[in-house]
Amino acid sequence: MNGKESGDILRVEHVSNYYSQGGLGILRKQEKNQVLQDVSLTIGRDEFFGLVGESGCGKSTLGNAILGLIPYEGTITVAGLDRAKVSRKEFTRHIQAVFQDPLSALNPRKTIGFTMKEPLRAHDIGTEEERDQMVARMLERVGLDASYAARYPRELSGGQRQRVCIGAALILQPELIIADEATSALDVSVGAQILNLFRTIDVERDFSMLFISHNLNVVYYLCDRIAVMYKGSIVEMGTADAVYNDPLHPYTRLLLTAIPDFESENYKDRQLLERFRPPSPGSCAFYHRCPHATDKCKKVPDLRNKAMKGEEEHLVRCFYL
Amino acid sequence: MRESLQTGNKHTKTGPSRYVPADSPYWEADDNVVLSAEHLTLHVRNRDGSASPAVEDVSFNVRRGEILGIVGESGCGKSLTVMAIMGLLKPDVKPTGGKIIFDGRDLLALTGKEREAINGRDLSIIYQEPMTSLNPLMKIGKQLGEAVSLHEKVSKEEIRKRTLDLLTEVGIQDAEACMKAYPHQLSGGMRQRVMIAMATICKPQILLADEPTTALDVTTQAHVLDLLKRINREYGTTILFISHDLGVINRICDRVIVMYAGRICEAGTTRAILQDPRHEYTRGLIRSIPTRDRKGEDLPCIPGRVPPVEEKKDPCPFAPRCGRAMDICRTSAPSVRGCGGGHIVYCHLYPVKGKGEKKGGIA
Repeated sequence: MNGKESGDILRVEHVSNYYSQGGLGILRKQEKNQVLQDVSLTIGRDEFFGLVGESGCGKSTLGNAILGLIPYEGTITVAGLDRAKVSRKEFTRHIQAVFQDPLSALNPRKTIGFTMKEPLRAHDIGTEEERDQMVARMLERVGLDASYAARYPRELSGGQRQRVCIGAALILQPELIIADEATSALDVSVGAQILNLFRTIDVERDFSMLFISHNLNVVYYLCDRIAVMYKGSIVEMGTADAVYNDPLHPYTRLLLTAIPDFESENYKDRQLLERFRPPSPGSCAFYHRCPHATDKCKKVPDLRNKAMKGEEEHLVRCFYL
Repeated sequence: MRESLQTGNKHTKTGPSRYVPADSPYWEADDNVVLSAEHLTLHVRNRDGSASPAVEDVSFNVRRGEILGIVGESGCGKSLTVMAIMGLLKPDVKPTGGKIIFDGRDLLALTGKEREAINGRDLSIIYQEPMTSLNPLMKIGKQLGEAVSLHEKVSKEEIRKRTLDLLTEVGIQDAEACMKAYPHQLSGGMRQRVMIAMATICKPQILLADEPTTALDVTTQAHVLDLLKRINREYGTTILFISHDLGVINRICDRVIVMYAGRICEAGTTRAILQDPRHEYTRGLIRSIPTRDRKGEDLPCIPGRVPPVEEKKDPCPFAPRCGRAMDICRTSAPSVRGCGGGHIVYCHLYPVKGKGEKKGGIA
């Protein structure tokens, strides 16, 4: 668990994923829908990586694939271990998840302490007393106190429950946390507390995070690098500053335009919001909504690096940049 | 249950009279008011049979043709207020005080029949999740037409024509096909458009929108907000818009009411509330939103948590989380203070002005 070690903690290489449409047995329909389209990304050690996109774009699917909850094609390596070759138990030491709804993630009939000790028990770490101490320390680290170990999830508020989930995820000292919309279900003031917690807890111990969210503001606030996903493929990826302050892909610009803020009264680029054309199969995923699309866009563009010399990588999937 | 409700009621009645009374000249003078809540108090029954106030002493006016926003976190009572207006409160929530005046009548005292005549025709509502409000077994065209045939005597042809026109109006490109579709065949944005069409088909005076864009993507949300604004401008439909998102409120509302733990904290024009908030809660809420220039620094969030409904609260419910709370905040509820321009705040930090401020007495 030393964060000084160089290299990437997560490598996702050419990952695709399909789901088949309805029907059982021989009635199962033959065609398959592709969700993830050849997704590749890497997350460095101690890096916070943000993944943004609209609902249905495949951002959670990618998270689930990394966690090994769904089948996929391609390779996913976590801490140098191939996802497909290592047992699930071995993996959980390196990778943990925090989900959107903390209440459904906690067992309502078990105390917080029991739930948080569960991973330690599963991995046979420490004696019962040591585990108790570890849980108490972790509870303090996430901004609660040791007395919470005896409580039940229903006695806690939404924000406290999310703190417990974060504590349970961190207790095995994993190298990678996948946070899937971890603040989306919380109230604004409580969500801010959790965001602060993620920031401060990172200073205390080294772990990387894949932060999945639909909220570009939150992702920009928390993350070092951002990838924007649209219809299962990454359309733009770069440092948080580059993607947020200097967006290149029309979709990223559309997303930024559509965020309602309370500083300006109107949309920055209204034209972007109103473009629609009939979709064309095999075209660039954004073809039907793009204001700049031409016939050239009827093919799928590659991800290309648009960064100036000396700058960090800024990948964009568009012909016209 | 009944006894406890009554004690709750007595509690609010014995409290100091903190608002401009409903019989003040202010109410008669402003004939622009289309709906008003006066000292509305709602109690929720707890598991042990006792009752707790979920909405306490809430008074506001909705003016004709405006978009009035109510913003607050979960449990602040914003949705309950709207449900009380629609008469759709669940059995465990009881109005225990105050009135909601619409069209010269108290909406809380209506019989079932009277209510049926008003809902859908004069008052309409759209919810967060359109899928749960649409009948999954009924084609869109039929569902839409139902509302019209309930309230008006018109021919089938006429209904069909109106439905088609309206669907085109709300921005559905192929209205003809949409009429024949089932709800599950439409996307989230389309469903919300259908819901808006359904809610506006009888040209209601007031459209209540309870977090109508929360379940939608940001780009779809932008379209739906545009649509609501257009309906407001073109038909003069008054909209009462509930949201937890200050950004959304900024995009659409003329005036805003900020609620916290069942009470109004602050109200005024959207610009005044967002640019010059007075209540510590509103200030904290605005500060805690991550924005462009806050990257890399701690979010100045509000400490503590929103108190659950059943918890006994201080007279000013925000006092435990407020950085500037004083002793008086824990002993007496703050009266309303006007800050000029219709901006009002319920906070002891501001001076109570003389009688000249009467107009600022209510949101």
